[in-house]
Amino acid sequence: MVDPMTTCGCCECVAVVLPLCNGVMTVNRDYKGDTPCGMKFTTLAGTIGGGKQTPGFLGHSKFNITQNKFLAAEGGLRRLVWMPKMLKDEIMERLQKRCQEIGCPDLPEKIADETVGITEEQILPFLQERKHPALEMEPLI
Amino acid sequence: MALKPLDIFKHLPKTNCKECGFPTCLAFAMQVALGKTELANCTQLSEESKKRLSQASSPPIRTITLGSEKSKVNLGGETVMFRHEKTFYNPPPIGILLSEGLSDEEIDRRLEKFCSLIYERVGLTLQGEVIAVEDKGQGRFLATVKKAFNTGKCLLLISPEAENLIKAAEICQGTKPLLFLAGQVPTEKLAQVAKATSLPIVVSSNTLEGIAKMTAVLSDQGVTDLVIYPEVNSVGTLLKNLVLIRRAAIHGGVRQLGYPVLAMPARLTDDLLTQTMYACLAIAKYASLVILSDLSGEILFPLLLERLNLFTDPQRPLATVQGLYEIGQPGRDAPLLVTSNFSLTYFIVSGEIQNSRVPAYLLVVDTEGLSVLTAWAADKLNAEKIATLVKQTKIEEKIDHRTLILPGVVAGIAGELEEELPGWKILLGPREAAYIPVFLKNWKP
Repeated sequence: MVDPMTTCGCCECVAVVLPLCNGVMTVNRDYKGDTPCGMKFTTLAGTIGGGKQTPGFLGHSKFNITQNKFLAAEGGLRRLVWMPKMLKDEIMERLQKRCQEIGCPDLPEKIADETVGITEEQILPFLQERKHPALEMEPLI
Repeated sequence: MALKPLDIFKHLPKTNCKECGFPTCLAFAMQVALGKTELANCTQLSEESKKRLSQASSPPIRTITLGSEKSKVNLGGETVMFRHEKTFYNPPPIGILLSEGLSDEEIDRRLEKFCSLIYERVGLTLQGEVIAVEDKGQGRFLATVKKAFNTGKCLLLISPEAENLIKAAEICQGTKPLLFLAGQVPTEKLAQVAKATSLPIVVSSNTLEGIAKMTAVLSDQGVTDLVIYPEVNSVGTLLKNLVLIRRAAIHGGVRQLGYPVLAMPARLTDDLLTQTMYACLAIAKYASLVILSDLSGEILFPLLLERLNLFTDPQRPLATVQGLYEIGQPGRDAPLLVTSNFSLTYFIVSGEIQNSRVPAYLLVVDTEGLSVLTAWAADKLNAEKIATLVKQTKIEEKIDHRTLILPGVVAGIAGELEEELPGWKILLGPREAAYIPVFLKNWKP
């Protein structure tokens, strides 16, 4: 997330750091609502599109979330604290498989979505209660 | 370098208090980085963070404005090393040097020549902007300054005597010349002249360290309108210094070198063509103001074009305003042509129509700066758009015939266009603008 990979802006998702949660959220193009980072997908796409490199902001594909390269420098999938429900459901099968691989089979239930909250303050108690691994990881910022 | 959102975010209170109007501190940092909101909107920012952030977000190279309202030029203000990283902002003004060693006739000749070199290209006026007047202690300095001032161009005043400079500056009422106190000058003296006149001043030395020391002292005294001049004796050193200064300011964060840079090919050689080559290099590589000893059309024009090419914003295609253009004095039976609004396309097509000497109407469709074929491929030049514009411009009231000439390369939309414009005949024009004159000469309504 320090020197993020560039994208033209047609990426399927945008990942953003959530400083309070010490983690990363991601949002897919089809999710039109507000997100915990305070910006909607369209605003986020504007910050990374056109080959712009903005530390803390990363354009990626849905498929990429369950690849081993996803957020490799930040500790991988364990960093993911929030994603829209529709996206979670869509990739659930692969998500569960990948979580098994990294030794956190219950991670999918620890990742918050809009039904939990759309601000960092709303999702933090949820993450704490479920002991999300990101909270224990080294500080992002 | 512009601040990244996370750099700004680190200094914010991270409370997500929402008083700035944004839902999170990160969203606010993002907007500040984009220049869409001000740091001051954060109510909880500590004084220390405020100071550090405003320092870091100020531009790496200062912008200095010269001239009057009419002849205004900006020097410096650049933010990148290469144009493709963003854009270059301020084209370096080009000028001539009137040294006292020249005869009165020669000075008049150079002035007159310089002022007559004005070119109109692609809707822009291209010309040299600056006259440098140099005092060599022969007592004619002020008289020459007056002559130069009367041309209305920007001035660079060079003299080893502080009093002469101040007097010359007084002549230039209502405009801002650049002052250059020549020779080995103590920094204190520079500060005095700059403060007495409130004008930008040149800082010169033969080493970059020397320049950096002087600008540091001057800016501590509040004198910040500075232009730096590295004295060099070869073109190699000139290039080296220009690159080092820009790199230090942009990448090294060296504030002491974050000023516009003066380059004087006139001081490197007497041969005008060699000077021209040096000027070419200085324009391409980071000079903010370029002074040659003299200029003629064949020398100035290529330099102006080089400058135009480099300093045109690559992020925006040049476009002409959509609408109906009259070329010559078209009558009720004049031909009607249609084209895209890419500037180059417009200028080539309208140029060829002029060449044909057949007065005509040219309908320019807004294709967002794309050329005809590109616009067609992107669906920005289509039958619907053309038909709408035909109705909007009320061309039907201006001509008696109902024939529209379509660029030959977009023959594919002719059928659709006939459907969109009942009663109109769509005629295919040439595929290339070069054949427009022949086409129009044979055209009959």
